Amino acid sequence: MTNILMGLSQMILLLALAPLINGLIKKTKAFFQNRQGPSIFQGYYDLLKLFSKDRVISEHSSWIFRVTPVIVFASVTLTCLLVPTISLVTPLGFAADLLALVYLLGLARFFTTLAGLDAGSSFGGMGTSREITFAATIEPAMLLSLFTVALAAGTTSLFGMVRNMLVPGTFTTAHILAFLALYTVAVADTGRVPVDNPDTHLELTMIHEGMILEYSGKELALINWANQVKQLLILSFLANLFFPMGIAPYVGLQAVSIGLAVYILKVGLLAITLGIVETTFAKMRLFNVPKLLAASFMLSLFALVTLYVVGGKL
Amino acid sequence: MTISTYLFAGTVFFYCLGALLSLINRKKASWTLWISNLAAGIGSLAGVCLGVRTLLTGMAWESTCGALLPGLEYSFRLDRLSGFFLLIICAIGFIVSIYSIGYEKEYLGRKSVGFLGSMYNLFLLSMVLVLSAANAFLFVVVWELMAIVSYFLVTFEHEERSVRRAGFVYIVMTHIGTLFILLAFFMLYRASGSLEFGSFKGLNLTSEQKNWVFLLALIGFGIKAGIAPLHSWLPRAHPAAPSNVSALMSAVMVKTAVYMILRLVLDILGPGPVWWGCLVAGLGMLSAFIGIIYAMIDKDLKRVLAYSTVENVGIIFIALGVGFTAWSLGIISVAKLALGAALLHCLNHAIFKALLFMGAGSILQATHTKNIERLGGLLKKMPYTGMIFLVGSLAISSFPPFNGFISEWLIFQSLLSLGFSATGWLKVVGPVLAALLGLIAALAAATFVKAFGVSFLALPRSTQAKQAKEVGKPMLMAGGFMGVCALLLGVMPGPVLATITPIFNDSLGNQALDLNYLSVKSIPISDQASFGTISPGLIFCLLIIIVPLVLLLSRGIGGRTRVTVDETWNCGVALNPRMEYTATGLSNPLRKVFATCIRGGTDIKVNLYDPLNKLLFVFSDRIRAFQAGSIHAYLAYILVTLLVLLAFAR
Repeated sequence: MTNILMGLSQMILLLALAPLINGLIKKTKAFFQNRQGPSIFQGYYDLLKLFSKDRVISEHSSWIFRVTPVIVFASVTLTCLLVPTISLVTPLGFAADLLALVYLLGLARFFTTLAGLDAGSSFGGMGTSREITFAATIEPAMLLSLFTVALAAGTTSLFGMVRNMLVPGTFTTAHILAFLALYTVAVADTGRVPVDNPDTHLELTMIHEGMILEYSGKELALINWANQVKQLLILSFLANLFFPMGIAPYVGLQAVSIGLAVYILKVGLLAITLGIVETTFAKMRLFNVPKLLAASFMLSLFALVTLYVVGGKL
Repeated sequence: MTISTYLFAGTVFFYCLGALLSLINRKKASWTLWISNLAAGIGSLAGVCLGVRTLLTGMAWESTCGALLPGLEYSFRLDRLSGFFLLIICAIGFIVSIYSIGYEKEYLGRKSVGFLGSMYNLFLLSMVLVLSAANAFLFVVVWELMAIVSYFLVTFEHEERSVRRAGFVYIVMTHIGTLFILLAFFMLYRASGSLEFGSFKGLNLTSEQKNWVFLLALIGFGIKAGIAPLHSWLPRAHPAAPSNVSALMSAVMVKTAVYMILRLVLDILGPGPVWWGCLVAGLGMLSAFIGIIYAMIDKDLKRVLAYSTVENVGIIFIALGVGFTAWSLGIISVAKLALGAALLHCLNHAIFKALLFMGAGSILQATHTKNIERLGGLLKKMPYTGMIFLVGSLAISSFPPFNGFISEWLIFQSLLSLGFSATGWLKVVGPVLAALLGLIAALAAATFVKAFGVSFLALPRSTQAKQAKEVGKPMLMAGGFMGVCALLLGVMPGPVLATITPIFNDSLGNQALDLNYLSVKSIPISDQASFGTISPGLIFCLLIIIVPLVLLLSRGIGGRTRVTVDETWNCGVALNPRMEYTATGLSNPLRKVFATCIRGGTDIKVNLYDPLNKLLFVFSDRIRAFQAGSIHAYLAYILVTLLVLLAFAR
């Protein structure tokens, strides 16, 4: 029973925390740009507003357009149940490993890209076209860096990987390289500068915003929210797979409160670095992005080789 | 006579009956359509029963009927391995036969449905016989029968020049393949003195001989399986055939080659050197990559599917390669996992590829075009076909909760496990291959976003697409059934996996994989509990629970809102289909990113096929001198041949 409660509360926590983290990134950017910027809670106001707004749906679109927000939100929510965040104890950890999570998020992406095509506008098509390109180039780099950590732990279960990292002395050079590779991928996967720009609706720059251009009202709210949760999930991956210290090893008031505080601190810090990256880098030319991701792939490859050479396991 | 014999006889009998009656009854085409497909359906059902029986009981069934010459007996044998493939072929054959009842109406009054029905039955028959042949002579005969019958099916619409060309390329390539297979069998025959497969087992071959047999068979069967760089016939021939036949060719015919490679290595050659497995996995990776890159940039719907077959066969070969490598290294648990994954992917690919080809056939029937650029908006005109095609696209892009995900997950796990438990450079190769497999899966998803999105969504791009109508009930039923299978296998793969793993007990020992009905577990590695677990059933249940909650949530926050239906925003200009993204436009960034690889595919043609072609022409020119056109000279050749043969036989 406690396990199920833990799972549910983790899901609610992630859903509730996501807009705040997004606000934190925006605030960081504002700070570095010498602006005051919107309140850190602006994300919540935006979502609330969108949920109560009327919708306009394209007459050219099909049912794919309508089910996409629900499927995207549902698969992201499902992922929330399965990742380690504040505690090592989750009821459903065995239901999905690393690969299953990657593919569940892929399911959400598949439907988003279809929805981009559904209304028939060139904006959507352009977004979809770029999204499938980047999704394909992201995949090998992301998987290889995650596999490096998985092989070091001897399991693809996320909880197993985190548990392994808690053992002192497991953090090696390989993990540093894998972390850097995964961080690069995370920037691309969350659709941030220098890969995508979440703030513009200019057709020359947008990817994710292009695909969801036709959405409004509740559906837009669901998609935006899901996207923020996905961003938080990726940050949690980065935080817990590499720096799991502080995570609650068992369910107890004290352990969980420490876990919660440490977790928020970790993802908050990572969010701030994302904001810094976004202010210090210019957006890349579209066809340079695959090179960035190829570099990330090479970095993961080095990580893998290092794992065996430095680990003396070759 | 056991039940199995009756079932086998029934399968063969109904296929023959269907072939015969269709030919006799050519004139009444609308009758023939039913007769041929009913016969094929009944025959396939008997085959399904036989396959299931063999798989579940695990008893090998053998039968010998008559001898043509001493030593050339027609002997048949079915064990778990061939039973599994028999099940795939007959199950797909059954569904496709239902589909054909609707699809072949397309040809009524235009083409000879009788001929098509007859060849269709013979095609199924030849595949069943290929699986059950237990004698090299018989095998080659039925293998050739399969090639020739499928040639007639490929060239069924021979009025088109491109179809004749595709047929020609196919028949030439498949015969080159047969040549290599004959050589491999000949080497085995020399060593054993008998043509029975049974006598090939446990031969005392030197490692060099083994290598030769393996390589010859790999080339021979690799051509049939469509392994790069020997795949060039496949994307031409499969789309040229009528869609129901394309479904059979892509979904099951290529699997006969996979079956024979498994049979040869598992039963006859045994674990070879490590490079065998690495070669197979390497070729698999090459095929998967080339296949999916070309599928991504193509705009002919059926050719996209054919290229995707090259990709999926490649994935199966990766798994086979991992299995063989692990077996050579003595890591039995990984070998079992990988080979089981390969077989599961054979089944899964058969299901979703047949489904997608049937969907493409439905589109072809409704719009008379397979050019994606001329489609669009079909989801509104053909809602059920669209739904079915979407399920197929999700399954082939390996997304949960569909079946493609399970086999792909197992292949990922076997690659990682190989990396974990092997030593030396394999430790790096395994995970890198796994990461590349991820790239291939993502490209497959991109391909099917294109195939489904451009064909079914947005506005129709041509009048044919605008006037499309939903296809008939048999075609929808067949597709729907496949869709349900894809979902069921994705949610509850446990029972199927539990039946697959004992297939390897004979060669790999009895160690079972840890499986239960809701969850799939990867193998235990060393003292750890397991390398990875997923529970597809639970994931599916959770999705089902969460979806209504999301709807409630969205309803709940902000209260009820108004929905207006209006035009797509298009900067103030009315939207027309020419403004939509095309399939070419959609895949263009990927085409640019992978430009080098696409050029690499063309290089294969320039550097491998063209020189071979040139060589052939030069050689043929020389030989032409013998072909003088004088009957006297030909008679002299016959005499000389006879004398030489007599001299040898003495």
